[in-house]
Amino acid sequence: MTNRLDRDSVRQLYEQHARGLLAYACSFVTSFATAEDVLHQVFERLLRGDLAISGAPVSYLYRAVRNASLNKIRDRSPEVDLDEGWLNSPPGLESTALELQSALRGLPDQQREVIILHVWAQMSFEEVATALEIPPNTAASRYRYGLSKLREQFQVTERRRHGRAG
Amino acid sequence: MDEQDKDFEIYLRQFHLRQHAPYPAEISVEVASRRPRWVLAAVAAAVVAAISLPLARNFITPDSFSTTVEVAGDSTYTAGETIAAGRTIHSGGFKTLVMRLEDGSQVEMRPQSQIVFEPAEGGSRIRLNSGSIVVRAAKQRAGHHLYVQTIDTTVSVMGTVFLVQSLEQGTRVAVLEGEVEVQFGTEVQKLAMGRQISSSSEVEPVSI
Repeated sequence: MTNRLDRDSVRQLYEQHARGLLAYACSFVTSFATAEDVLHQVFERLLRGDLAISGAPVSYLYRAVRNASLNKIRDRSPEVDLDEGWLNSPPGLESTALELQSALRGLPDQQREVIILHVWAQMSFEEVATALEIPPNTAASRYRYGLSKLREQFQVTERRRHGRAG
Repeated sequence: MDEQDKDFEIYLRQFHLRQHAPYPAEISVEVASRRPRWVLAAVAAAVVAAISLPLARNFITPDSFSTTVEVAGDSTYTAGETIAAGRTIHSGGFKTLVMRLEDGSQVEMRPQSQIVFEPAEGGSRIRLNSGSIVVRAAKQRAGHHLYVQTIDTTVSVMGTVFLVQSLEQGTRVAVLEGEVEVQFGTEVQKLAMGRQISSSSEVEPVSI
């Protein structure tokens, strides 16, 4: 069964889920501006009625953001891309934030997306599971594996950096 | 999850996802639906207004110093429309609006941005009231400059590609090609390709 949403419903979805959807887009594309473009594109199509929602709206939106992100990556023009980081960092840790994002890109997609949604979109494993249409236990185990890998990867990067500084 | 991972999770949480844009106050997207006749009449009236409004915009201050809409996105403009100098130009809620200046420069306005294009001493000026723009500046003739001005910064170029973001905390300028001259207050400095600068320490650097 498919349905089209009215403007109020679209607004409500945006207000409730924009943060998580933007974080999800950030797990695919490297630039914050591109992630915003993806989010806007999906909601603009919803408003136009180009997207007919099938199933639960939330998981449908996450699928739409995933597809739009992958299309962006595929169609990326060879022009210079302004790669804005999507993480704000505490003062003095700006370069660490970029290294962290770089380390995240080294993780498998399934682990990276769960980490980003749980840590930075502040979604519970149940919410992540609903959004990605996976069991909550799967979300939690992907998170655990991914977090360990990220920590190891990140420690290697930090050690190299300190080595260079020393 | 072991203790090390728990500590690492706490460490990660001191970083924050950048804030998403709020839902736009006005959206000019037509929602597909069945409409009764009176709605069609209202739409027809709106179309007449939409056609006459740009015309009115240009006739109020006839000026050869204008800019043309290249890609309208979801703004209220149409591709090919000319907008007279001095008028505030708004991009749409969700899409990029691309403008072409008479010297061939291209201005890409990100969603929810506002600019005014106007003549300036020794050239032309884009006043960025809010949001961000990417400017692909055409090579300027001798003695002619293209300026981008925000509340606290002026960027002057001869021909280059650069980004200006007007944020609440200050202004960020990043150069993708060529070189620009940036003025914060009375301080002027040159900014080369790949470099960026901001008017406030609260505006964090981004990687280019």
